[in-house]
Amino acid sequence: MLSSKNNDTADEELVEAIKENDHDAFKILYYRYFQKLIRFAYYRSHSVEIARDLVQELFFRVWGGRERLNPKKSIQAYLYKSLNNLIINYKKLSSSQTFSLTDIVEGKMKVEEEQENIIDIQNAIERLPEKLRTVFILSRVEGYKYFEIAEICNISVKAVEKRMTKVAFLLKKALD
Amino acid sequence: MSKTEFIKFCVKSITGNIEEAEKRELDKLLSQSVENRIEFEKIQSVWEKSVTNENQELPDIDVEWESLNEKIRDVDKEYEKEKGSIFNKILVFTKSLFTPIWKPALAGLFIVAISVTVLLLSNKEEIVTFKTISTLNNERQTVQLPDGSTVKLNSGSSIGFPDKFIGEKREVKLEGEAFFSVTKNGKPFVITTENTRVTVLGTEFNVWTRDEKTKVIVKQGRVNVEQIKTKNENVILSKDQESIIRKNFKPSPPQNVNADYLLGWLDNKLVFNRTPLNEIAGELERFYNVKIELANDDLGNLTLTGSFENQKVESVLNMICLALNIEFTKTVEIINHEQKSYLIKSKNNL
Repeated sequence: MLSSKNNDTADEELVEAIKENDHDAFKILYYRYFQKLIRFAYYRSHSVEIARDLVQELFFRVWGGRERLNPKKSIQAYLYKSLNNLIINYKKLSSSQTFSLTDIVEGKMKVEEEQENIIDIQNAIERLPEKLRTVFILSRVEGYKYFEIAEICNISVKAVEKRMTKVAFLLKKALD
Repeated sequence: MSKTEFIKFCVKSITGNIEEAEKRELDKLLSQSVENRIEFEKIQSVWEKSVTNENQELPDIDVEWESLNEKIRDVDKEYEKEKGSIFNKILVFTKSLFTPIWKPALAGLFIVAISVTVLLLSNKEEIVTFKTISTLNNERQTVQLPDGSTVKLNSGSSIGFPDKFIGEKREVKLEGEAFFSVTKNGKPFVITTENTRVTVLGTEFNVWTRDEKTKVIVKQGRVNVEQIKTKNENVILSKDQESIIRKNFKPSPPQNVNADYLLGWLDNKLVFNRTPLNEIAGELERFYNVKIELANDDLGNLTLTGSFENQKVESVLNMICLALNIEFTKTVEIINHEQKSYLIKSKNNL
């Protein structure tokens, strides 16, 4: 069956089609968001493996629960929110939260002092409360604008501003 | 301008969220003092260093899509198969059977469905329809069987039975937990679970069966209990006795218990008697319609004795954790946001 949907089709229309079991529409949605979601999960978990598993799990559940999707609501926000939940659950379930930060940075830096700085910042990011880190990564890694982050996180733009300011404050402190 | 306000503008500028008026104000502040410029540069440097490995190799999208696609196809196929199988066409089951939670029950009922078709052949005038009644979490139901026996179904359970009992035996299938009050009518009454066959003539007793484990507690009369796979191993239970049938093992010898106390669920109580935590979690899930996960399998072997009545799920969890020296947290449920979910873990687990 040929789908009338293509890469320019709006999210909303794609979701309508997915609800009608349109497999091609689902593929378009997958290709549209895969990279972004993988990057987001990667910066939260520091592991490509985990990021890939979680994103696959996410899309698997989206297809499995396609009847329940609501085309009137932003699918982008829904994907990020669900992925975020998956990550939080994953972190709670994995008994050790020790991500090897030194591994990540190793070999990347030339100057030692610089490297120390980076490890400090990375550690500070790790210590950020979940809701601050989510906002931060959406901005820093994904390049989303504040209003987009507000939609994804279901908070006001003012709250995004507040959280980002707090993040800057905390990360800056890591260098002192 | 406060320091927080200043940092806010710096971050908005660095992330490209600053508005014209704000930008002008920030520029002014930066040109006014060296300290401000140092502060700005510091934030900028933190920002740059906060992401180090932009070039990390990400998974290949085409490969990933194919693997997801395969997984989805398998699931969809299975779904189609279920919808189109023969017994669905021959017999009318209640619709609730086809909700995915009852998959295990489905497998069991297929066997019954076959035996019914055999009955149809040998007894052409009689048409027997098989019925399944299922309860959801946090729901109980009393079912009247065609012979006048009654069955109280606990939460998240299902019972399958014909609309009339023909043949030598009265046969039913059970998944979950039910209390039976069986009438005497000369024909043996047989309950089959995943691993156990319970045979009675007329009496009151409780059958609990989940994950290939069955527990039978007798309140009145005598009950014959046998493991399906090792037929000759049977145990006869009388009033206030219990036998546990684990997976492929023979039934445990009769143990004296207080049936009224252990069958507290009939009075809306939760009663545990050296019950392992993994079973307790399941009981709580069905009783409160919540989701409970254990952080690791070892926790599932901890056992607890006690009863709870009229309490909120969180206070029950609190007491259980206190008794076992473990802890629980509320977690976020992905699929169903309305269902509360909890994680039970050991205390030293970070």
